[in-house]
Amino acid sequence: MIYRPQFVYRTPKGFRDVEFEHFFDLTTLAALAPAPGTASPVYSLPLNIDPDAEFRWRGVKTDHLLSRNVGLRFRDPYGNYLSDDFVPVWLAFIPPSLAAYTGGQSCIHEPEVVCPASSVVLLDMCSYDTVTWSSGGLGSILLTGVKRYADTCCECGDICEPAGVSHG
Amino acid sequence: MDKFQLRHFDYVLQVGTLAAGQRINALVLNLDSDSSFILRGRAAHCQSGTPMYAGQVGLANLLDRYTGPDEEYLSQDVTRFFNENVLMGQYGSPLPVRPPLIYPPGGVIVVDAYNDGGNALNGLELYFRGSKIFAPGVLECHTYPEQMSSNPYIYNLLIQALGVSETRPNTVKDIQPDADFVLRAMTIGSLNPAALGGSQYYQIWVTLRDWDGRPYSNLPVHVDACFGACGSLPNDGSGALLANVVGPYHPPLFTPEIYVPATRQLLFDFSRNDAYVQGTAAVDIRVALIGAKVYPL
Repeated sequence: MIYRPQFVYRTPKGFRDVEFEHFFDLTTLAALAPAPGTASPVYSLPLNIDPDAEFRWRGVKTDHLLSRNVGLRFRDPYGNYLSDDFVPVWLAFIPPSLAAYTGGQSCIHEPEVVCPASSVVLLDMCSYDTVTWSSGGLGSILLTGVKRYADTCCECGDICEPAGVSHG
Repeated sequence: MDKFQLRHFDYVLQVGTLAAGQRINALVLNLDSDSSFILRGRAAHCQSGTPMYAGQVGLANLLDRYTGPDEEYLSQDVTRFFNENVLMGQYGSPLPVRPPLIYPPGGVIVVDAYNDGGNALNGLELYFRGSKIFAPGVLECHTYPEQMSSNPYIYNLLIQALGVSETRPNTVKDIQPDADFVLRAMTIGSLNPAALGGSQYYQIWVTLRDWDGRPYSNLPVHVDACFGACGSLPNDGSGALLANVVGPYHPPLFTPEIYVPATRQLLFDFSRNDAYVQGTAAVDIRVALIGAKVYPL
């Protein structure tokens, strides 16, 4: 299908999509701590995808309250770079500031990137300023999208649950 | 016409200075004779001594009206633009024209403009955004192959140290040879490194052209009005990037998207006129070309 409408995704029969956000901050990814300037980018920070389901990655949010003159470059789980260089967060990844992460829209990308369960998205990061980040840095980052579960029929009736999930 | 080709296009009507209390009737925007034009959205922008959206508050005093394809006005009298769109259609989010209007080749859009405020609106520009409609065969027609795969992708462009009154034409962005690129949105802005003084810009225009040099606008367009994400951000260490009303979460879209074959180029002409503001300095301008790579299978 050449002209699939953009930003519209159908869930195929036999599967169920569940909205999901992979969240990374200093507690889960220490390398997001303040870093030096452009001369010393940080490469290949691992953003681990959960092992329970395939993740359909559809957007990015960075922390607008903390991040400043930061550039990001992503690599998908197959090793493809998603930009030709670092991209300033303020050009492509800043969400609305109504609240840091409560209900703000994501910066979507099209098409989605299909990340297998337990795969890894890699992140390169730089600062465009030569000053050392005294506070903040990137702060945190969210990968937004859906987890795709295969529905399986249960013996107890016609209720379906994600594969591997017991409902007692 | 059964088949046609659409091409993103912006028309700019340069009004100039609209003095306090002044009304100018029957400003004429002549449309190109090579194609029809679908008007999908409108915007306005004026010169200001304050960067970013905060400098555009004077436009709350702009009232206007314009004519449709039959050269009849679409409102009884001028109306306040600000009441219809608080952003004045800027930052790539034009005030929608619904339903879109189709103007004939060589047509005109006639505009009445009125400033009911106490201060002049200098450097006033009115934007009419949409698509040109071409008959098949007039333009090269590049589009998705029958069998393909696709990946989201962003090309970057850095306009380094653009001077206060500098014109920098023919900046070339090469599309990589491994895949076609479909350009769906473009954001332009600046968060000038502290090493460059952290200066901001006020008036920067861009003309985007395809690999044949054919432009996507009749005149240069203001980068904030048509392709702004956050605009010209201050590098003052204040911490937050306040993208509360504008920002890359609703990127400036092309209608339709621009399909660029592998190894072709997009051309950019930048010009800046900030000499009217004291203390300005060179700024680094960054461009994000947001879209997707298309791989034929």
